[in-house]
Amino acid sequence: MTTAPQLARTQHGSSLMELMVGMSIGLLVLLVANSLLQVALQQQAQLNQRLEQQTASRQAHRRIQSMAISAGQYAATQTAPGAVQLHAAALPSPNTSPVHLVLTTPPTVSPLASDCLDRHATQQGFLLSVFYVSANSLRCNVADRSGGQPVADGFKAMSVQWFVATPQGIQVRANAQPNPSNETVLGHASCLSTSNSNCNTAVGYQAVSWAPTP
Amino acid sequence: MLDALLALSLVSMSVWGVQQLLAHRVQQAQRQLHRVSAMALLDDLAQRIRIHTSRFGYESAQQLFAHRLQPVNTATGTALDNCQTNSCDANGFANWVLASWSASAHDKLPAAQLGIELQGQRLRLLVAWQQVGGSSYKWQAICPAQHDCEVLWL
Repeated sequence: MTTAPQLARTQHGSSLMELMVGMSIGLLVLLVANSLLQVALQQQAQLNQRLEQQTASRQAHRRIQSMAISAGQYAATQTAPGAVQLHAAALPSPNTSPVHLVLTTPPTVSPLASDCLDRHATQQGFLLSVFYVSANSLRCNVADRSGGQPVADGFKAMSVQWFVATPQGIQVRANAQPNPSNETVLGHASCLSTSNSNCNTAVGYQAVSWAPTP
Repeated sequence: MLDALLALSLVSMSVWGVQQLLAHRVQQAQRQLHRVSAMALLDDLAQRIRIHTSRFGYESAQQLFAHRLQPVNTATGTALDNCQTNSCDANGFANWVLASWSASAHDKLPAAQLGIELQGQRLRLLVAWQQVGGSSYKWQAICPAQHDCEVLWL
């Protein structure tokens, strides 16, 4: 029969010191793992945010492009250059943006022609699409009172460059205003900035040719 | 002590596995971001070449854009301002487009390789960026080794 002192001698459990060392190593491993996970999650969040911005930008530019191509194809079929009235339309109200892109298309250009909100309301015989940035979104005004709706979110400023065909060649302008007698608009490039600063002159612009596909 | 070490190694292996999964997801997201940026860049250049074509003709575009990225790869202020202050002729506009597009590409994909080549009667626009395990267009021998590519024919 085993006595109490004999039992105490034969037990081989962990000492307090061993327990403390084990816990310290475990804690160290968990701390390192936690910091690595934090870094990876932060990286992923940043990447996801950039990807969302890129996707929103792509969606917004696609919307502008489809409207511009409709307007451009109409312009290309007109005998008089500069037939599209680029700036003779109602501007967004009450938050008038300093930069806006006005595209007008006659409903007759295509059976599927519509404005930027896929509606068919006309103003002076034209479908109207006025793009502008307000309250953190790219918005669009149309001919009726349903305008001002956000098209894509996450933008704070907008810039537009116009490619104007002149007798000497091509000029890049901040304001289209072609001379109706000898100039015509070939296309435009728009930039949607996610910061408050305007777009750099070199980067960030997405161009679209108004000419029909050959 | 042995039990504790065994448990610790199991925990470490699990954490390492989770870490690998997260790294894989980050790499996937990065790859997708590069691809979206490259597509936007190619679309932008194609539209600018079409603007050039509609004013100066397709032959002019073929001559002035093919194989000309290297000489104008530096986006200097004078090169970029030319077409804004005065009208540019075909050569000037092509230079302006290539300089501004190179600057844009450098901003979005800093280490990317850019190329415009005339293949038959068509222009081939290429953006390639370094990617471990990248293999797009490998079968056409277009893409450099260990690179991902986006190509647009015009």
